[in-house]
Amino acid sequence: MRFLHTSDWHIGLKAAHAGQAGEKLRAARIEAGRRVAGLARAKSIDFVLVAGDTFDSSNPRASEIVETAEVLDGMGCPVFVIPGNHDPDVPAGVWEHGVWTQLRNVRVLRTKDLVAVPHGTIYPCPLGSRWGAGDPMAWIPARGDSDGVRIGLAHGGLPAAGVDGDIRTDAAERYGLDYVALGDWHSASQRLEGVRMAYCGSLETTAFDDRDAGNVLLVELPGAGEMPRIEKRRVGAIEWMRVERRLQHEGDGAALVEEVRALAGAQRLLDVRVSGSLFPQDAERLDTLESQLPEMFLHARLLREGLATGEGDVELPPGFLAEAGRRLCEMAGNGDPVAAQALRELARIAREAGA
Amino acid sequence: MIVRRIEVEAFRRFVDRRSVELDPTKINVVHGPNGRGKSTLLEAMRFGFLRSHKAGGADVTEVVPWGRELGPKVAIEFEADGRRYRAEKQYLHGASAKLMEWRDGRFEAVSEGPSAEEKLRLFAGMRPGFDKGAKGTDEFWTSVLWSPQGALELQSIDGSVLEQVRASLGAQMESGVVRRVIAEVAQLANVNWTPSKEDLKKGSPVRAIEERLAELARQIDTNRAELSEMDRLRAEIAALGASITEIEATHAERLREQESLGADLDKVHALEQQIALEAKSLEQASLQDRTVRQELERRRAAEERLAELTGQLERSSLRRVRAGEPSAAKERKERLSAMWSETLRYVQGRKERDALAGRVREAEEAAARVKAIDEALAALQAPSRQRLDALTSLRAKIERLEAQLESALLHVEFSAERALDLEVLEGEPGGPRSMQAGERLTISGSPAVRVRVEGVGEWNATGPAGSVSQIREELSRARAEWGAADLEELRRRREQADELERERIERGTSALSYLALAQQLESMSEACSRSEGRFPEWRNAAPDADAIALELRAAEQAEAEAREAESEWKRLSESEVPLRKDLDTMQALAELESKANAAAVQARRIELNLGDLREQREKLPAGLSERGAQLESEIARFAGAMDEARQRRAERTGSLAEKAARTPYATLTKAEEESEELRVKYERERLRAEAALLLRKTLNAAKQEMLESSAGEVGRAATALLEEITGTRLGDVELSADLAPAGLCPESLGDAVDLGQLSGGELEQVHFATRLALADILCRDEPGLVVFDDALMATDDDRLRQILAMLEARTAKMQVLILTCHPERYSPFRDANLISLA
Repeated sequence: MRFLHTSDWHIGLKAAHAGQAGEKLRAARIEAGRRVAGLARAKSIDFVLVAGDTFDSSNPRASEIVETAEVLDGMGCPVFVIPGNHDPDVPAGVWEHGVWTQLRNVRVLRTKDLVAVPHGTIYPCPLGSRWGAGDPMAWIPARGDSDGVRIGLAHGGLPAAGVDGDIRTDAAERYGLDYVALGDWHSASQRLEGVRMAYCGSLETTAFDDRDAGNVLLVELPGAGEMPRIEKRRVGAIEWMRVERRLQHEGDGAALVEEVRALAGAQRLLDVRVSGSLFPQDAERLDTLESQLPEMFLHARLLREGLATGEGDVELPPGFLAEAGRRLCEMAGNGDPVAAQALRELARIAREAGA
Repeated sequence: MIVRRIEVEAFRRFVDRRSVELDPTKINVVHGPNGRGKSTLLEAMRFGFLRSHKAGGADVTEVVPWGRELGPKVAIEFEADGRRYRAEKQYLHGASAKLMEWRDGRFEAVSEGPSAEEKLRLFAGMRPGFDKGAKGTDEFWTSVLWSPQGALELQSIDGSVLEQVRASLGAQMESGVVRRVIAEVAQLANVNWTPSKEDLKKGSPVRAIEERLAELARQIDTNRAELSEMDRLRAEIAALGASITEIEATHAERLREQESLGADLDKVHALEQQIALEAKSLEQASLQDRTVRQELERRRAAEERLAELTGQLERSSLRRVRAGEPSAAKERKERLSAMWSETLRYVQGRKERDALAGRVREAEEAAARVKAIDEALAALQAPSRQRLDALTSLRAKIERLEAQLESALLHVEFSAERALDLEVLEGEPGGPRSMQAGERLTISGSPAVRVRVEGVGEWNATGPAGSVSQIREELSRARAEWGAADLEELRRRREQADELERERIERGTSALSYLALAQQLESMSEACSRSEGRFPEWRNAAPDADAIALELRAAEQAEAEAREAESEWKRLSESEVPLRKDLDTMQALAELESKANAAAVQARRIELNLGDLREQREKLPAGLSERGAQLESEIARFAGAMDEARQRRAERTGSLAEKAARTPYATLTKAEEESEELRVKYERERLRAEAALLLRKTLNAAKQEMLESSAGEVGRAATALLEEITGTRLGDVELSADLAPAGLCPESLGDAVDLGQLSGGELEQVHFATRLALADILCRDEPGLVVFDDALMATDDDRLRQILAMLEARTAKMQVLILTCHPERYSPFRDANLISLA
């Protein structure tokens, strides 16, 4: 038995942190879905399991529902989908759309009723609300003689880092399952060997903090009681990168600018965080870089966190110009970012004026 | 600016052209007596540099020589910026302005009209952009460098001079770099901020972002609220779904229970239906029984009533017979009534007739008595009452006269103690008389009583003489009239006659009615005779009216009884008719009794049947029916609640679908993304905008503080100059913000001394020092012309010499022109250019 395990497509993703690039990110997720479909067709698999959060909310646009349904239906094999906490089965929710009843391959499993597949049984654990209502797998009956390979399909977190999870860490053993296809976590499980439970992670990276997103899992289960063989396959195309630098010396800014330019890519999101001291010339380079970022990346932003600007070599004429510069420098030295910016401006203007 | 030559024509006292040459390196002293045109030269220079040639006000017309119609002309040759110029101006007639520059050995026009004048004002210290044209009254640096006649005091300094002084002190203000920086900073700040206030300008980039962010925030709030409302609706729909499921379960349970009641409930229903039917039949049978019995009772009552009525009719008939015909009774009553009336009249008439007969007899007897009384009165001869009264009056008169006579006499009472003899010589009783012991004698007389007692003497008593004789005469006449009348006898007769006359009056009335009574008696006797004619027995004895009255009352009662018996008989007879008719309409008594028995039997039969049915019902389980009804009610209630919940769920679902169709999540997504993008941009732009504002403020503050310090610098320079003039340190010269002297602060005092407390010489020296300090600043980069017109008149010679030395020392930096009518004061100038206007 071979199947694909995917989840957390988050179609219609709200990517406020990506600003105006949101529309492109949403389109990229559909494209990633198409790549999953291509993989499914290419690998001659028995079925596809979608472990929740196919959509980012219960109210995506109708066009997104229809387009997603078409992508899922194009897998070339049965596709079993459960509602997750982002797209729970609620009144007037995404799963009540008429398109789901018109598909050839896709079955939305909205009830906790087992589904028989060749050589096995799937135990779906759909969610009916956004908020957890306990262990969604608790309903799964004990193993029966004719169950064959038993596969749990659920959505929820495991207990981790002091946070309670809805999914039990021993769910596979407790409910007699050969494999538990989990959704919810956006990063794929690190360990895929010798385990019966796995998160495939989000279809595409969703945030800068995601570690290993953009994958699906290809799972092979030889038979009941056998250990599954799990392979991770990359389907995501968008890269989310973060650069954090502390500037200390003159020229550090220029180096950073060059580093960022080297990372430029249309499928890349970049989050640059700069701290330390910035010399006026470097400040100007950074300003220039910042103005060019939209053309260089899918989306990028430059955050100057506590970045102070030094006076540099700019000489101000004696008199009140120098006095104003002295005062601004003093304020900037006390951590006033407005004064620091004002000082940069004064230096630039004075330089341009021929000082 | 150094002035080389001044030319005037048709200008105040200079009707003809007059020129004055000034030395650029020496002290120029123009002197001459009053009215020779020294101050006119200064005025001409003002016109040359400052006044528009188009000006035509009083200040221009008054410089025209008196009585002439000339156009005043001024020409000034001067050096500035290393070049030599000549300005020519004409006012009023042929007004013109021309600026010429010395080129190639001659002056060439470089500018004319307003343009030339603007350049001239620039030479006079105007700053570019300050030109106010023909209307301008600004004097630029001439307000400091040129002291008008007697007006050395610095009252007000032109604004442009302040700027220039401050600019000169803060050297960078005039530098191109600084100007560009300031302009650039202002431009940068003006992108977002209003020039004067720290407000964001409408339409500025930052404000535009703020407004868009606010709009997006509203959109976000709206869509979040929409999504919250959708969540709430979903929760409500879910709750309604759970509620519907619960109600459905209960509903189904009740339906099952209702089904299980099944047959028993059917039996109960059937029995209860039969019981209800039987109960209804029983009610009908009972009703029929009651109806028949009531009819029977009515029949019996009617028959009893008829029997009673028949008895009453029989008794009434008998009574009717006994009472007789009412008409006969009435006839007898009427006859007796008539008889009773006549009896009453007759008895009354007869009684009155008998009484009248008695009265006739009495009248007859009274007439006889009246006749006897008349005869007795005639025999008595009694005096009339008047005569008797006259006699009584006469008798009283006699007695009164006798009393008067008695009181008019003297009365002597003589009491004898022994027997004696006396003789009344005058008085009564007169004459001799003997008296016994104890005897008394009263002697009266008038006008004297005289008594003689034998052996004793004679007593003579006198008194007042009265009218004894007159009284005695009247008494004699009265007594004569009286005669022998016996008053008592006459009175007795009179009383007797009065008695008879009273009786006669009494009797007389009766006697007089005799005839009338007799006629009346006859009439009454006739009436009685007529009744007696009808009832002869009444002649013997008067009828008994009471007996007749009794008979009449008996007749009246008989009549009433006859009428009442007749009426009763009729009433009873009439009552009998409907009763018999009613009886005729009723069923026969036997028939009714038969029916009553049948109805009673039927009711009993039903009662027994009903008892059986109830017994059967009681044998079935109790409360089935109630439970059935309760179940029915509950099922209906649950069905209603289900419908209602489904309806509400449908409504909420519809509402939710409407909201979902608006895709608030997608809208929220777009808004939040744009908002985040803008927020980052806003923070950057806001920082830049605030930085620009801070930069502008900081620059302005630094500049302002530096400018404000200029007063201090000028003051310090003036203080040093004043010390140089006086040879001692009078104190620190304090200047106002606009650089005019405001006070002097001696070192010994903490506070400044008001300038009004200084001597005239010291005051003008303070102002001179200040002007010179300002001149030092203004002439720092370019030499300038300094003019003093009749200045320093109160300064002593020593200090004046010091001043002149100071001026001489400055000839390299400034050209000095002194206008004075006291040239000797300036003799200390070793190398002065003296110009006489004498």
